Amino acid sequence: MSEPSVAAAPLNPSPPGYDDAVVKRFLIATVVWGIVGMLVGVVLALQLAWWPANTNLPYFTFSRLRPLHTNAVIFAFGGNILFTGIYYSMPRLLRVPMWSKALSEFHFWGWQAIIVSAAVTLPLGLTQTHEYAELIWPIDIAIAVVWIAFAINFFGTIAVRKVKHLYVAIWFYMSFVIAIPILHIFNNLAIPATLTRSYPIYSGMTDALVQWWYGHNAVGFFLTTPFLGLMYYFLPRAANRPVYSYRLSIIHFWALVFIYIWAGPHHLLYSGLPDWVQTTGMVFSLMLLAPSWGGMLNGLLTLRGAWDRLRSDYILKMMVVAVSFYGMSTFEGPMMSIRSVNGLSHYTNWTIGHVHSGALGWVGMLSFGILYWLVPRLWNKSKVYSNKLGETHFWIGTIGIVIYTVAMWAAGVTEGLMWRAVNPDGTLMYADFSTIVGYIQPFYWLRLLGGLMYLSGVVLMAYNLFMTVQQPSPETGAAPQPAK
Amino acid sequence: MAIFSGAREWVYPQHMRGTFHALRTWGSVPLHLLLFVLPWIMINGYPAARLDLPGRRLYLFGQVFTAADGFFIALLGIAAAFLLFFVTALFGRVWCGYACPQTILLESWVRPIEKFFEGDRSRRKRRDAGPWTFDKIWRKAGKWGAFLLASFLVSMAFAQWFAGAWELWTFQAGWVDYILVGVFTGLWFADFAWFREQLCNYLCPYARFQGALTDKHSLTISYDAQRGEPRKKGKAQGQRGGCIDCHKCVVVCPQGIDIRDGFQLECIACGKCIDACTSVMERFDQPTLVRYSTEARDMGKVTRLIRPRTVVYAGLLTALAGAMLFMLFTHSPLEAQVARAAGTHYTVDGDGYVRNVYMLRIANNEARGEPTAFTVEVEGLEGAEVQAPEVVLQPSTSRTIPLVVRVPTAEAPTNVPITVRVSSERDRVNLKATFAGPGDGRRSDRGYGQ
Amino acid sequence: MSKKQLDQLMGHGADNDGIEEYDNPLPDWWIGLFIFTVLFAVGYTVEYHFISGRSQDAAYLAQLEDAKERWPEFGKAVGVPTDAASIAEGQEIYVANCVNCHGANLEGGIGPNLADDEWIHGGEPDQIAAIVTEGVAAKGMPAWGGLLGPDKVAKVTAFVVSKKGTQPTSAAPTPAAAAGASAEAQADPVEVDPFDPADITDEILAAGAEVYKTNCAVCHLEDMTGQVGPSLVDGEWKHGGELSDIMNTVTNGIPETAMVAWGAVLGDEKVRDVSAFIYSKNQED
Repeated sequence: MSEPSVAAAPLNPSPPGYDDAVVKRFLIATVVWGIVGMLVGVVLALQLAWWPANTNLPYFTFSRLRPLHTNAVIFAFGGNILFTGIYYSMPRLLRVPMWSKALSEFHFWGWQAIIVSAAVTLPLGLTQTHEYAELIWPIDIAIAVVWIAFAINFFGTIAVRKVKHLYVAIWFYMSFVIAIPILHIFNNLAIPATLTRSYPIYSGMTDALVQWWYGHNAVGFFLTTPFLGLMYYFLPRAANRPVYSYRLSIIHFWALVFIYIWAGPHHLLYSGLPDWVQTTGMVFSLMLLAPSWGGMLNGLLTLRGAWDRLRSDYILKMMVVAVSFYGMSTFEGPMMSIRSVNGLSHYTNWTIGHVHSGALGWVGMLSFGILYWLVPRLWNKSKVYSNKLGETHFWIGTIGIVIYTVAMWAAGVTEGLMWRAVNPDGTLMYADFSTIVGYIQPFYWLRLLGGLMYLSGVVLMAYNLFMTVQQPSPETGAAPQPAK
Repeated sequence: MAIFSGAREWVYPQHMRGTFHALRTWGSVPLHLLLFVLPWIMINGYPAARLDLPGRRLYLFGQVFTAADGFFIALLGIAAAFLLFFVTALFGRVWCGYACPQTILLESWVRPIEKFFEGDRSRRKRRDAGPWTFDKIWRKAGKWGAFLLASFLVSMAFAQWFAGAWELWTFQAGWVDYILVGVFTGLWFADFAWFREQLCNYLCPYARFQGALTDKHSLTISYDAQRGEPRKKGKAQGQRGGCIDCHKCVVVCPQGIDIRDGFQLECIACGKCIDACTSVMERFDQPTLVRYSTEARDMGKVTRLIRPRTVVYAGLLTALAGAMLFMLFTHSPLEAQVARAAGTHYTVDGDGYVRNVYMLRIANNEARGEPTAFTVEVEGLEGAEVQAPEVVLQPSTSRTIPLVVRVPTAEAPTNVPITVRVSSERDRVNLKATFAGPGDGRRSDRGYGQ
Repeated sequence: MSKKQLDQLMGHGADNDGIEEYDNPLPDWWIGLFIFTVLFAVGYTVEYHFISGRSQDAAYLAQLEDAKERWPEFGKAVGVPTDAASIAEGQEIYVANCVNCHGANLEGGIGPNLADDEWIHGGEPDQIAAIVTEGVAAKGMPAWGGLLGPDKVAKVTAFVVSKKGTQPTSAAPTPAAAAGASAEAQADPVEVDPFDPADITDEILAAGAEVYKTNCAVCHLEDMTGQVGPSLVDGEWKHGGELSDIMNTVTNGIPETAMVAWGAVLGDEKVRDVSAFIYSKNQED
């Protein structure tokens, strides 16, 4: 009982033929890109609080680093942890090795090449200027090619599976594998002019609508559904408890994928978008509340009977905090899509706070929990190097998130109120925009502190995982315990 | 309806007196005063607590906060989070059992009302299982009517904090306030009459966080299995543990769990099971089998109050409290910012003076009172000639005025930091700005300084 | 439903890498919430679009009406005089306070042109007076009301009104970008008398330096490295770097930019001096 029960791994060595080498590679890439992406985020936070940090070089200005941060944390960190989890759980859930080892390899190296090219082109100022779709057209084509290779491998594995029943995690993965290329390809349709420049085939409001159909579903089908898939695999494994409700998982899955795809226009409330499209975006976002909470419920109720372990098991702590943040941000999101609330919150730092409570809380914490759980198993170690450091990571990360989100929330409300404030004679109280920026600056420092704490936790984790791998493996003679 | 078959087991908690029940009952008195009475108290002519959203004012203990004090609000939020972390690290989910509005209102209002109309656990259970008789109908109607009234009072009490106590009860508040009272009456009614413990079990994020925030040294309610097991009625002495399996701890539980199953998500640490077990064990001259304990203690180790986590939280809380107290005491209703007039740098006037133009915004955040006069001075620049109009501001108004500062060319270096001082009879703020003049300053130094 | 029927395993464990599943029913409130949001979505849509016929345009107009009701006095100002004495006095006030941004001939610069027929915030005398009084803080126009007082505001407005629509041909090109006005037909550029660089004297350079400091340094900076306007010492010339080119640019300005036609303001001699000064600065290196 003194050892965290999960961190002390019941070993589950990979069955013959399973390609765990590619899982390890994706896992290492996750940690590396995670640190890079979050470091860039901290630099951006500093730049907002203290402008000289923009330096005199164009490559390191806020405008060029910002897309680098978002792309790195979403597609490099988020993407790699998803692939780690998928390549680990797919063969185990379907009882066959991945369909093609060559395609797995191609997927890994192709994806890393894309990330590196993004890290080069974005600071150079080569961009399509569409949020989360900044990468220039040759890279876009590379993404499509790599993704199709991944999809073939993915569905090939499902086709040759040795089990009848497809576990719900696989359904969530499927939505990811199918939706992402559709979103990516249709949003990036463009006519190339030079090697680095292209013109989108949509213009004006149509372009904006397609962009946010893509942008919101990047959140939906990159940061939500596949991570729910990971939750459905790793949380019951870590807690060693049955999933609470099969029925709920199926119903909330279909509700989620059906409704999510319509919610994009809530990014364009009070714009040139026709009123009825705005209404569509708003009401579909509201209808997302219950389906999103279905995932939260299933995650939490799965922990019934393992709740006492929360006191000493930081892996479960991380997963619980992740699921709680998922619940909170999927409540906040629908509220912010209501027209009148959006009128206050839009364009303010509240949005940044909302996104980060989802990103740091849900995506980040879930990923860290999975990493701590996975590393001893993949490298055949009896335990994580230091549970104390793991605990510390949990605390420092949680405090970091709290500081970050509270600061941004308060900054957003401050901005929202100030932009609207009028004097008794009807003139604007804060007519000069820069005045309000002055008020926001202390919040930016506070946010930097929160981000720095979160990043420190990740660095601790990297060290801890590295040392875990360096430990000697237990005797090979020990009989592998089957997972219960 | 078939789809509403539901997984819920209706909980019929039995009434239970005891130490912890008394603790909560007495503790709920100041909490009720806080909720119902605090907004009525006036300090410095302002309500002791009111968040006036349309007016964008927060009144707190005689001070007035505006949107400009958002940072204070952020610190308040962070401090509240740390306080939760700190208390939970030491005492587990004590918030849930003794301070959460939901628990307090259920215990102080809902349970007594329910008991008054429908009797205790067994009678309620039997009546619910039975058919709809006249007796059942009037009791239910009476109970729900009382719930509705309670919901209305509670909603009004919460609305006092926003609309102002006097304004609300004399029906002078805005119509939006009364609509919100209506909506919240409905929500509280649904909670009182139906939702209850599901709020903690499914929706409340604090409940989850507190679970994750506890550790081996945190106080939680636990069952002493060593002494209690094997539980059995009627087994021979010596073979059985102390637990007589009377289920009293189960029937009193408002969350519907069996504490003997261990630390659970649903447990709100209210201590009713302790009161129940104490009352039973008393008869055997035994101490209670269910008690507040820590995992460390249960494993025969020492519970440490002072540990890195609690020390760090205490330190952070002290620092935050200090910062907030400082802000509270130095808080002034005078708010001012200065910024260089957009798009301008400096000009050399015909008389050889170097001219800088700033925009100076002054706000009088006093909520009421006489108009206040403000004067403007500039320091840090020899021989400066300052042109600024006198500003007289009504309460709750602001104005942006041009501030012109001129110095003879010979005395104007490249960039000089200056202090713009705005003062009224009572308050004063010093603002930093830069005076720009001819010279060979680098480009990056220009245009940014205020 | 009793506890016995809950928490039944489905027997998927063997297929799911050991992960078992219960088939517990969905919580009532969850289904209720889902149904409520769907009904709300339908109800809201019908109410918004078909019953009340709301739209964001209508919401905007309603807010505008509301503002008119709340602040009926907004934008109204004291009467603006039209007598010559007031206008003359207004001119003095203008020269003392407004020239920096609006130019000696009201042709604009940092602030917009006040001599044409384009009015961003309304061209009626009362509207102009209101802008002078309240300012346009977002664009850098200070609120002069407190500094000048209503009398001076009225007089300076009278002066501006008297110049309204005069389109000062001598000052010619409208700095249209700064004025936010459409590019109007521009007056013909003024021919510049040629001047030989060899004829530049120290007196001319000294005079030119003074002219530069007073008029040009605001935008091009004292060290000529440029801020609002481009650098004049980096060897790059968008409009020609010969002395005649510089004189031409200074005289006629650059249409569509904040570079004003200085010919009419400075006169030929000062234009020559300052151009020579700029030209010679580039010959030193």
